[in-house]
Amino acid sequence: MRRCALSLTDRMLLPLLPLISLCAMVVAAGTQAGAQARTPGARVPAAHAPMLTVAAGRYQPLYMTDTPVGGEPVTTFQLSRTAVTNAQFLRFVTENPQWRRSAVNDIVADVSYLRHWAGDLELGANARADAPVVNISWFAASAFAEWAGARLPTMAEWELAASRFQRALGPRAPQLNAIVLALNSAAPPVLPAVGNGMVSDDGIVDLHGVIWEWVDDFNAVVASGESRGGGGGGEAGLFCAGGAAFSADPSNYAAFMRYALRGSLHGPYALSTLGFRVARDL
Amino acid sequence: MTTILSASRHTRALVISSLATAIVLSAACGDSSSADGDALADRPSGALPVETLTVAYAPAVPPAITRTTPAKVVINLETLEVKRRLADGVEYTFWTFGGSVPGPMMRIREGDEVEFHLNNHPSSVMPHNIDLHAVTGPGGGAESSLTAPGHSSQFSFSALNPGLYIYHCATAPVGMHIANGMYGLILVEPKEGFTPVDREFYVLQSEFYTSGRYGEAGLQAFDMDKALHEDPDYVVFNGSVGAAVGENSLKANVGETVRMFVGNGGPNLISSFHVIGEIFNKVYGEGGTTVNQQNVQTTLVPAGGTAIVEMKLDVPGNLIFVDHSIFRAFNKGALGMISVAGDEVPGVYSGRQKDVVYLPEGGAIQAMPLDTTAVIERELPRAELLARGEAVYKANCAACHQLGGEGIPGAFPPVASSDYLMADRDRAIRTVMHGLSGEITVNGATYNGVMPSLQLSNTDIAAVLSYVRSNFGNNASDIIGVGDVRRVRTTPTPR
Repeated sequence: MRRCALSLTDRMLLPLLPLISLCAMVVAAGTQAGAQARTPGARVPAAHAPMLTVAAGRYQPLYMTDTPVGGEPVTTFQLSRTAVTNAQFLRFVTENPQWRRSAVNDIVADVSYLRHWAGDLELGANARADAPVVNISWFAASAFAEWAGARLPTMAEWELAASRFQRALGPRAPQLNAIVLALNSAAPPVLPAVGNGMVSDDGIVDLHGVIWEWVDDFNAVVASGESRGGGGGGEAGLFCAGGAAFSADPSNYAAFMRYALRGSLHGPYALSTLGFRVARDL
Repeated sequence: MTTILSASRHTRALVISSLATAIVLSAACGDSSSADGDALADRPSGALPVETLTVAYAPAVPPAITRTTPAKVVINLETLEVKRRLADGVEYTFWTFGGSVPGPMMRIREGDEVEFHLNNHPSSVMPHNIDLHAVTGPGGGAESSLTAPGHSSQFSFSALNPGLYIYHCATAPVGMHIANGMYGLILVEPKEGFTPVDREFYVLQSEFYTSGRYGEAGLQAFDMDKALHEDPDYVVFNGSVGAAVGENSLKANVGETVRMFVGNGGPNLISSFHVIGEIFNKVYGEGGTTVNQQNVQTTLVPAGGTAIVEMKLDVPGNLIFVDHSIFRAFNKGALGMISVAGDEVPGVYSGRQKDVVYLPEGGAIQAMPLDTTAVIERELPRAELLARGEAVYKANCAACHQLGGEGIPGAFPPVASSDYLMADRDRAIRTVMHGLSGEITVNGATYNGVMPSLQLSNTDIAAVLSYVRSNFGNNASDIIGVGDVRRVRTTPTPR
């Protein structure tokens, strides 16, 4: 079911990159073997936040193409409670020198990679240890996930997990869109610690308002959409009113923002507001 | 025939090649293509001269183009998200082109080839793109320019049609990107140019939809519901209330001719553009290239459209320009000014000639309207204060902090059993009065949000704080009096 996560350009680079998994399926397959070999849980401190179970459900994509009525089914999976932090990523680059800032191949991470850190193995004043790591490419996030015996969540998984705030919001749950919009309006120069944001019904924290997050198939929408003229294909351009033409919910501005951001990305991009969390099959 | 074909292929290759390559190739094959015809009328064969565009920020207009032949014009435009003044005491997080609302005005010539670079600043939270209405092609460039923060996109186009065009960001959700300030003007000057005038000005109308009402102080957030209902709190010229009045008014002299390039960024409202006390001698309707009307009082400027108006300034004084949907001018900020200096011209306009008594009812005493002096603030008895506080809380605070004061974890801090609230009386007063943004810790949890300032009277602030501080598990024995609030209001805010 999972779509290939790489654009054509990215895919052409892959033969050069033995370290980078081809596609999400390969990541998942490699993960299981790797995790067993490394005996999960033996490491201290933990590579990532505790994994919480996200109940199965149906995800209604913002753009309906050949989605089944009622949405795309998503099976139960696990998602880390919070985003991966600077401290956790520091441990990863310490153990994996090829992912240090000075050593990383610019095909898998652009010049902004970890640029808020003071050095290769030094966080410095702009990167609190307990803040979410940002300036991370998709390749780096995927490599981290594989190393940690996990994978990146799919867009369907992420969006499903990020849509459940009945417990936190109660009668205000229908206003989630407006609340998320308000949270998205500004980014502090130095990011705060993870774990202070809204808690979803599954116990997942900070899904909205702190950072954007990579998903495994971040460009699936754009890569699969052929054109606006092709009878309802794909992302419908994501510009002007074209963005609304095939949308399931034209007033879901918060979702439009996430889709537009994903649409602007390529695998090596590292942004100061973009981090990630990890997922795992149950 | 063969020669012509191959040569036009040459030309085409040159047109799309990069700057450096173009120069090299032009040196290499300039002779061979010199005698050829070309589909693009009067575009010279070989490489075009290259120039980097200099833009101008409102109300300035880039100088008229003196070139008589096309050029390859390189445009660099940055997208930047900045917190700025929207009105006195009111701030807004604008999304901008060039760090300014409206974005800079660009002036190119019909037939020019444009190499456009859109640079999204690394500090941006959002991806952005650009739709230039002057572009013939999908999305007006938007399809080719969706740009992540910290990245740069490039596309090229030929300026086929002269006219005055809006450009704007078209990233989904497009209305929000426009509503946050992403628009400006690009003028494609006709080959024959414009008739010379003494002064040119760049004026752009747009509207803002804020969480608080007009004038409500503090940092204001975008309000999606108001935008959907096309019910703005602000309608402004050149990006903020007062951007073109007083010291910032457009300056001209008696006897001069003036051309105004007027844009309307919208996102929703059509403008009825009018200059009080002047008449447009010429109007290029909807920003086209024909003077389609003369002697016009008010001209429509469509949302996502433009108009060019010209007038001769016959007398001195302040000419106020407005959106003549007049409540927008009077109550929402849609007002600017042309300050005309010079000597009076009595033959055209006399000024006040007489002011005499007018008594249609004869010499009896006239009924005068009642003097409505301000309501006097007084301290309320405790019970009355708390009852009023409960009403104020339910009307203004409960939506975020919830009826029981418990807040919403991760989004809105609790006021129930709140250590933050109870620690500092004056800080609590300031928070309700001016709003609050940035990181705070309440009962051990960190919040990093924005509370808008609430336009409450001193009495209401005293009442609501007294109510909250003695309810919801906060056990204050004291109340906050109107005098306390008045004292804080007149004390400079500590930084």
